[in-house]
Amino acid sequence: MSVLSLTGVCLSFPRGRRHVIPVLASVTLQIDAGETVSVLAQRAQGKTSLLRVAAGMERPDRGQVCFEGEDLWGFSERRRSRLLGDQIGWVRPVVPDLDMPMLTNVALPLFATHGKSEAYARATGALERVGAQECAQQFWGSLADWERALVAIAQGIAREPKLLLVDDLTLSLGLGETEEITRLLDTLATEQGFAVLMSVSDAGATGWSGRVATLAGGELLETPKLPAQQGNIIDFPGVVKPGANDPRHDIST
Amino acid sequence: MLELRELTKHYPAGDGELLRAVDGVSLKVAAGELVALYGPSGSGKTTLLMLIAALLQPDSGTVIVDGREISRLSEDDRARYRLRELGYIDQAFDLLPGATVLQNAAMKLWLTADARRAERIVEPLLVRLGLGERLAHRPDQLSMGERQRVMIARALSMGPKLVLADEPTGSLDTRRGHEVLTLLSEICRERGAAVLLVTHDPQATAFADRVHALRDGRLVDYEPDQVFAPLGEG
Repeated sequence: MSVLSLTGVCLSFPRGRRHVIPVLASVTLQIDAGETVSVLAQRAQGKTSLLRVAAGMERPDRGQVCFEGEDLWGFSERRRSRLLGDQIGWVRPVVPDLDMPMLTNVALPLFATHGKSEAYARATGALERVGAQECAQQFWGSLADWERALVAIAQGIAREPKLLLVDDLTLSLGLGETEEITRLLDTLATEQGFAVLMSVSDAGATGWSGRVATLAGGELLETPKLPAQQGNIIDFPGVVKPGANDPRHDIST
Repeated sequence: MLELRELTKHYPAGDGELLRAVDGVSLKVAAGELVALYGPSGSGKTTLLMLIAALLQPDSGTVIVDGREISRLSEDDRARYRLRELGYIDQAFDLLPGATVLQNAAMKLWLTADARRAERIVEPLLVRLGLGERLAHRPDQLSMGERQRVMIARALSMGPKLVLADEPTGSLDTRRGHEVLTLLSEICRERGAAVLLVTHDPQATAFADRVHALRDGRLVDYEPDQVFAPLGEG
C-alpha cells in the first residue's frame, strides 16, 4: 500500500472576483515507503501547494488524497492534526524564530508530545543520523547553509514520520552540497522506510531521487530516468555516484 | 529600559570604502513606551535591531538594556537575554504545522515550564489577541493576520522587558496591519514593555509615542511628509 496517493487532484486559487488560477490539474501520484520522489518545477508552479495538499493542509477542489489508503478528507480535524504532528515531517528552509542551540531547536517541537528527555534523545539521534551532531550546541547564525539544511532534515525526521515533505531545501546550496543533501534523503528514506516527496527548482537536485516528476501548467509528468541522469553528471571529489557502489541504484539488476 | 549610546556598525563595501549601516545612533526607550524608527530599505533598521538583540557586535558604542551592557555579555548570557528578556517579532511565521495555536504560542515557555502550565500562561494572551476561538486550530487554518498574532503571543509569552518589531505588518493588508499594531501597542503598554518598532510604513508610526527616522544609518528627525530617496541617491 502506498504511503501517499493522490488521484485526479485539482486545485485552483481565486484571483479577484472573476478569475481563478489553476494550480494543480488532475495530478495523480503514488509514493511507497522507502521511495523518494522529486518534483521539479520553476517558481510559482505549484510545488508548495502540492506539498500542502499531500499534507492535508490544503483541500483540493477535486480528486482524492489518501494516506496509507485512507482518504485524508474523511478524517476529523483532530485526526488530521495528529497525522500532521506525528506522521508527516516537514523540512523547509525556515529561519528559526527562537534563538537556541540546534539540539534544543530540533527537540523543542517534541516536548509537548514526547516529554523533554525523550525529545532530546530523539533530537540527538536525528542529528547523528544526518551527520550534524557537531551542530548540536551551535546557534543558527553560526551555521553554513548546508548545515542548516541538515538540521532542517533532522527536525523533520526526529518525529519518525511515515512521510517526509521537503520544500525546496536545496535552493541556496551549491551543486556538490545539493547532491550530498539529496543523497542523504534517499539513503534515510531507504534505511528508515519513510516516503519522501521533495520539491526542487533545479534539475541538479533530482539526481539521487528514485523517481522524478516535472510540474508545469498544473500537470505532473513523471519522467523515466536514464542511467546518465542517476546522480549528478559532474564528478565531485569524495562523492560516490549512484550505481558506482550502491546496488540499490544498479538499474541493470 | 533601552539605551543606545553612539552605536556604530560599519561593513566593508568592497571597494575599500565602508558602508555605515549604523552610524553613531543614540536613543532611549522607556518601559511601556513605543518608539518607531521610520526608514526605507537599506537605511540600517534591521542592522540596528540585530545589534540590540546582540546578534551582531557593534564596532563602537553601547547597548544598555535594563541597566546591563549587552555587548559585554558572554555568548551564553546573550542567548539567555534573547530568549528570556527580549521579544522579537518580524514577518516570518515559524509555526509548527501539526501543532495547535495554543501549542505554537506556548513553545518558548516549554523550555522552562511543563506543557500544560505553559499553555495556561499563554492562553489569556491569545484571548487578548482575539484568538480565543482559535486555540485548537492549526496554523494552516489561520489567516495571515492571525498567524502574526500567534507569533506575537509567542514573543510576549515570557514577559519580555523589551520588544523589537521588525516590519511586523509587512505581509498584512492595511486593515489587518492596523489591528495587529493596535493589539501589540496596547498589550505592551499594559505590561510595561518597551517597544522599538522599525517600519517603512508611515501609517504604522501613528501607533508610536515618539517617531525617529533612520537615514543612511543615522538617526534624524522624522517629518511626516518626508519621502526618502533610495539609498545613495539622497
